[in-house]
Amino acid sequence: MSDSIYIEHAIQNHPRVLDLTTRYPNARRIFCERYNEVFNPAAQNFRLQKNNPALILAQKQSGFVLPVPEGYGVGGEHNFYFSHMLNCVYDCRYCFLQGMYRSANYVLFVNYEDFECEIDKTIGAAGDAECWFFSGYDCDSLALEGLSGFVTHFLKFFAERPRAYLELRTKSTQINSLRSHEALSNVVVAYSFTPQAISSALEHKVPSVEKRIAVLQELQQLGWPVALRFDPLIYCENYQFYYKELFAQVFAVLDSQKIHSVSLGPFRLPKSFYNNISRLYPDEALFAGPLALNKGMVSYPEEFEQEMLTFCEKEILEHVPAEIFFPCVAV
Amino acid sequence: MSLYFVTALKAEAAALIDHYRLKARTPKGLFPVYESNTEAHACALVVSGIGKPAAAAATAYLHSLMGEPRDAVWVNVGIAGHHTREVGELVIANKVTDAATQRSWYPPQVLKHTLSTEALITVDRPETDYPKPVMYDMEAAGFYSIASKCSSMEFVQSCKIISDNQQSPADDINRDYVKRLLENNINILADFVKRLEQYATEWRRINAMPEAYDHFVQQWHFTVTQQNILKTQLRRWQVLLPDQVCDISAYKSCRNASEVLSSLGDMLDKRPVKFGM
Repeated sequence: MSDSIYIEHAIQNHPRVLDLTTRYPNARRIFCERYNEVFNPAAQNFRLQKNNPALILAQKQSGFVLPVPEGYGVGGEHNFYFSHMLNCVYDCRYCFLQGMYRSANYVLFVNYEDFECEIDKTIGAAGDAECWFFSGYDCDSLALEGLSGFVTHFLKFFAERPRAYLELRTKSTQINSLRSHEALSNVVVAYSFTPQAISSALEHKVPSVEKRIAVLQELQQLGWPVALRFDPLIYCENYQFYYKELFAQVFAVLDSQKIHSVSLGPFRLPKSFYNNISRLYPDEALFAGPLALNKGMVSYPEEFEQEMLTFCEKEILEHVPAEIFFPCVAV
Repeated sequence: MSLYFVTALKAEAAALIDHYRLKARTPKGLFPVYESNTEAHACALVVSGIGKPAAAAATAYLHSLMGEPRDAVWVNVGIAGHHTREVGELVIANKVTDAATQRSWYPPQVLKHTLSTEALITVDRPETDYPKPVMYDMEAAGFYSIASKCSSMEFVQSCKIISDNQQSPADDINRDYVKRLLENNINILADFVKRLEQYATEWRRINAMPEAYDHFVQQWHFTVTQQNILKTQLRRWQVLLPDQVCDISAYKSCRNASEVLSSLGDMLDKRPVKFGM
């Protein structure tokens, strides 16, 4: 738990703030007017702050529900994301958050009810069409559940809105909130994977592949729709061996017939994010590899990327039907 | 490593001058400066005088005098008043607010430590009523207005020693008393500063220019853009070929910087990425 909690003045008596400050009485409390006074100043070092990130309790004011970036969906007609948190407890070197934010502190927006209100408006505006809401875009949906109670809260909300789908995207094995709730057909729990050797090198503080697979199996047995996200694909020597091994490991345990979806995404970062991250981690092997700039995005050279996508797609389709496979490749 | 202190009073500076073995810089400039300069460690202290404008001016002066160092540790050390905190306690400021403008700075607390932290309000006139449960001083906001532009915020901190409270009013403060407060806390303060310096040193090590860089730029003319590409390629070299020295003689057939960069890039692109497997 963070040893510092920043609190926006206006929400110091919000029930979730009172609950958190009661549960962590030893954390130093620092009051601010708006969270961005702490989070946004330019002269901050994300890498240094990752050693001891603080928690910022804030109230989201606008932009509660946003359209997903191109290529992000898994088959739904209307796709949106919402972020109750900014930043993640894990420290994955490929993560765009390091390049997007100046601070590694966790921002938790406590006004969940305002998110719900906007989600309802979005569902209403879509008429009879299904809407998908992705929650793990700017954070891990489950990793700080003990602190946020986010999943526990939103499961009740989505249980009453069967036309709306929620994707919880995570690498966390803390699934008590899901264990203690009846499985919902409109809530998909999606786990991200890279092969263990790559995970060990790049996904710091993340539970092992083996543990994540075990948790996925348990969730599947409990009736939760589960999904697999092989995103981003990371290039390395003998990547074919490592990815083949990962797919074999995952599909040996999961019931392929009951997997909701499998997606595949290449490693891509907007140039400005890449520049920020590579300045923070000049000693990182990921950024020493072959990378190219194409239409404002830094990625593997096209031939590498295509080769990896083709290889992984072929391997995945040996385990699951094409109808549930979604290569997330923005044009 | 570079470490810079800003204090308002000579009495606040005395214990630091003694501890870090600083010598008065001559000839005297706008503000009194004390320094100790070895190849590995540059340390300097400026005495600003009382008040926010003086603290800002002295910080800018020291920054300029020291050659505008990057990623240096900047620490404002001084006394502060507080409603209830015990006199003599060392407290790290976790928020600094300029009472006149209401602008605030939030020094990131990246160090895990057991020292007390508290918000600090910088006032233009001495505050003897302590209306809020925070520290009061007359310089920190001036220091932050400049120091926050000189280095990453994690390396810019304000450390205050409580000199007065409701039981011990500010009227009783004199030079010897301030000196004693600082002397009594110098070891704790130095330990905190040392840990900040360790972070800064590690950051500098990570960002150090690859050794071969100077050899390349002496041999060929690189434009500014090409210099940046060269730095990137040499850093890739360090990661992909950690046991192999980048020998400039391997590129002697290159006619210009462009050919050097091409050659380096092509070679590095062919190196396998292994992630320690």
